[in-house]
Amino acid sequence: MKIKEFKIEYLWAFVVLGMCFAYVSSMPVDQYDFWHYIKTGNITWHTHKIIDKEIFTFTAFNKSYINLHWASQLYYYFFYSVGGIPLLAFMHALIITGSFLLVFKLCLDYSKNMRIAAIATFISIVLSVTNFALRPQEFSILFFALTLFLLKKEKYYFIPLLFLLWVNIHGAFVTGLILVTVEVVGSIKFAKKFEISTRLLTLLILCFITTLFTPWGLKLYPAIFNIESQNLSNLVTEWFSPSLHTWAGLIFFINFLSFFILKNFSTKNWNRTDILTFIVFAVLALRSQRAIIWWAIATAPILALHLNSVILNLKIKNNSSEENLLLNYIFALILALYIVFCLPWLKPYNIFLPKSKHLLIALDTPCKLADKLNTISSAHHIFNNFSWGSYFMWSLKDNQKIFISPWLSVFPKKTIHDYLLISNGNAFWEKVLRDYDIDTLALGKEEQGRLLTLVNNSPNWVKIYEDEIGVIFKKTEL
Amino acid sequence: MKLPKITIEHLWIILIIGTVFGYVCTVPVDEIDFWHYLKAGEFMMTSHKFIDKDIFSFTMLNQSYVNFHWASQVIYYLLYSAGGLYLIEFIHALIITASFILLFFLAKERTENIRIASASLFITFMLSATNFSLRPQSFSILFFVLTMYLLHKRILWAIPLLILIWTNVHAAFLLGLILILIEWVCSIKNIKSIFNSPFLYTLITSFLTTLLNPSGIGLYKSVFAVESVSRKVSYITEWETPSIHDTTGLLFYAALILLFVLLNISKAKLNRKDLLTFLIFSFLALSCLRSVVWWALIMTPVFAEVLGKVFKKGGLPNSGTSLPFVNFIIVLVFTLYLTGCIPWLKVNNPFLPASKRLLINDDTPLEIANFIKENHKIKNIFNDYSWGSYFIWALRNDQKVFYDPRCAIFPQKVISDYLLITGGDYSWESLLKYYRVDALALSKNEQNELILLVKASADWKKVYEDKLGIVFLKQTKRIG
Repeated sequence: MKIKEFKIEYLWAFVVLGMCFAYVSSMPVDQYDFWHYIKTGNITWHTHKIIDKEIFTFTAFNKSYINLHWASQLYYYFFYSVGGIPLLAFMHALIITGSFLLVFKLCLDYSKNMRIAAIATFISIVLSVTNFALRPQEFSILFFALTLFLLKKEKYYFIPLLFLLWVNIHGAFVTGLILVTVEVVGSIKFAKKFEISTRLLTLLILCFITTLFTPWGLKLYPAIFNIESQNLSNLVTEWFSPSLHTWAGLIFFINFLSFFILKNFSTKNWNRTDILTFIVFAVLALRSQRAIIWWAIATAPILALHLNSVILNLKIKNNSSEENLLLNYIFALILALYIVFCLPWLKPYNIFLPKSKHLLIALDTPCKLADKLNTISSAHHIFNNFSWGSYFMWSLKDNQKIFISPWLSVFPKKTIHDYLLISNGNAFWEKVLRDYDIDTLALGKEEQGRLLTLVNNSPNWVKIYEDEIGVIFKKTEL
Repeated sequence: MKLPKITIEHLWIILIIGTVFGYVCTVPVDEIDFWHYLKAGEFMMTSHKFIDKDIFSFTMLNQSYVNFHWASQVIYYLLYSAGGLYLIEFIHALIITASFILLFFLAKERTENIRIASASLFITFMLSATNFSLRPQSFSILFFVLTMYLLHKRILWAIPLLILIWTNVHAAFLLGLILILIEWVCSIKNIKSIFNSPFLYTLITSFLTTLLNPSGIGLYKSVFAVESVSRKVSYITEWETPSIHDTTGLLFYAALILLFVLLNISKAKLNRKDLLTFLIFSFLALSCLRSVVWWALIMTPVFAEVLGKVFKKGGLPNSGTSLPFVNFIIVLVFTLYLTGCIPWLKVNNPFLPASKRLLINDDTPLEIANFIKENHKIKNIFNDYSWGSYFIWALRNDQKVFYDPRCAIFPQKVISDYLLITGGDYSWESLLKYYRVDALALSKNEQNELILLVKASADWKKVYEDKLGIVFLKQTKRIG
């Protein structure tokens, strides 16, 4: 590219997407919702069988469930074998950035203004940032953005193929079906007679049919709806409705209300599809915080369109003709250098990153606790901190079973209730532990403080390990 | 005798306003948030002393607090003395209905169409119905709408007087100041007009009148403290962001989306005042469920205007041939039904569900309170939070509760300890001992974990049980 072509508008886009990549790349892997995917991928790879029964916990042992993420588990295990966590983290950053590149392109098509497109994409990224953890949802983010892109470009023939892949990777393929449905309904005309786009309707039917190409067929759908209702327990806050009193909720509601302001000052009309997109994805986002990302991506182009209209009405002039293009290049080069040093292999040397971001694995991952548990041959039934379930599933021996894991939908309500009862230091804690025949406790200092106090004072348990994040107790021999 | 000519438009408004009246009349008094006001009013009127120290709980006994609602407490007691609960409920229904009548006039000015004004009123009713329980907030509903009306009619001199009364009745007087502030901001056209605006003087005067309360400027600190403490108490859902999973939240978000759709269909633009009002009150409503009612009230004229533009675009339906006689019969039958809804008569109204025929709702621990009152050994009662208000009213003066709905006056430790004991925490017995509790009045619905523990304990004996709860008495240990 010649120097004279790299205008400030390109810099805007580069900064937004570059910082997105840098942010995701430098995120340490958290302990909540990733490790069990590698473990199950490992087992699937070596046994050539998809795991469809719970095998890691003793409270739901052998209980059947629909393994929605089997293909992503294989992906994680494969790339983990090739390049470890750094490679997975790098691929993850590419996937997320690729998704928002598509969002940017759509915003650009809608607004015809690169700066506006960059702003709208940035807003979309900020809304979605709490969903950037390394887990199968990343594929859904990419596929969702791709589906939206293909729909707007009217390149429908790729979409059913996309769904065929998506349905075996992550349960949020349903949001893709919703996107297609919105387009179908938006195409309906009532002028003289009822008219609907047959192309879109055929697409919707084909997409639905491809979603049946999984090991479970139609049974997938009740399982997905069941997950949502089960996760409305006290343990998984991302399934709760957004609240104005959290940062993520505040930003979402500001964004939501800003559409009313834009509607008031924009000269562009809202077509039926855009109105439906607004309504449907607003309802999804209001139902649970984890759906805010779908709202953010689906409404980004609409935001760009109306923001551009408002800016044009305000007659804000764009003074790019006198800019120093060399400065743009220098700035871009510096940013590129920073981004390179955010890569997983190089980030420990990046002095501009906080120390917690230098790590590949989050500081509160119970690595040392797991190592210690592995040395305890008599630890078979472990009452664990819920947040550590995923990591323990990955790191413990096959004959060491835990109490609870992130896959909440497989557990009966009583198990979740008993977990909370024990963790909160209810007076019946010892009796409940006895009922479950628990021989080892792996407790989080932050999450299970009251229980720790009780166990420390109990003659029935002896402390055998302690570090900054947790404590292991073993049942005393009677 | 000539029958009054009642058109279908009259029917619309009569039905809506009548429904509001009938609905509010038939809401039984709940146990949570009314009775302690009545007791406080009784104390003040009989002792001629102002309550600014707690006298009802043993956890906060004699601690000072700001009594925001003193005037409403006095009003409630005076009405109770004059006509009992029947009269209070009736006046309460009149207050809410009067608010809606004023709201109707405001909506009609924006659309000139009675049916559309009625429809917007109906939306407001649906959104605010869960806030119609008998408590001082109902005065705020009336004063809020009255402030809207006075501002609209530019009867500015009356507003400070209204705010003066409001400040001593309920803490939501701040909303009145917000309404005046919005008018002032929107009246500013240039720098000169900032200080020339009559709204500025109304705002200043109104603010000064808010200082005419027993706590003076200290009122403001307490109002904000109430809000922050109440938010932290997670079981008080009305202080949380509305959720689409509960009815009021669902209706609120549906109304927001409906407004958006109507703005699109009508291609209407909100003027500066309406837009600012919408944004401020939307934020308030999103911050807590109990503010949805203010959003609903303030947006009524906006809904009326936007709906008017939608139907103007599509053409209003023709009212067709009016049948005044039929309309008259409908109004007559409806009036008879409404008469049957008034508190004195509703108990015999066969068209009401059984739960609505009650004066007091059936979750109120009447028999439990009677039992405790008769038992002279009981002084310090660990109670279910939602029964605190009724116990304050029904028990003897020497019997005190642990905790009640005036949660903002309790220190965080008391609230935390209440939750620990209720949740059956391991420290439950030591905490009860620490507070010298001699009786437990536990709810079967809310305190089941604790009930199981108490039943298994030798230190407590069950002395009463009914469908709502159980009373346990502490066993005194004999020495020797």
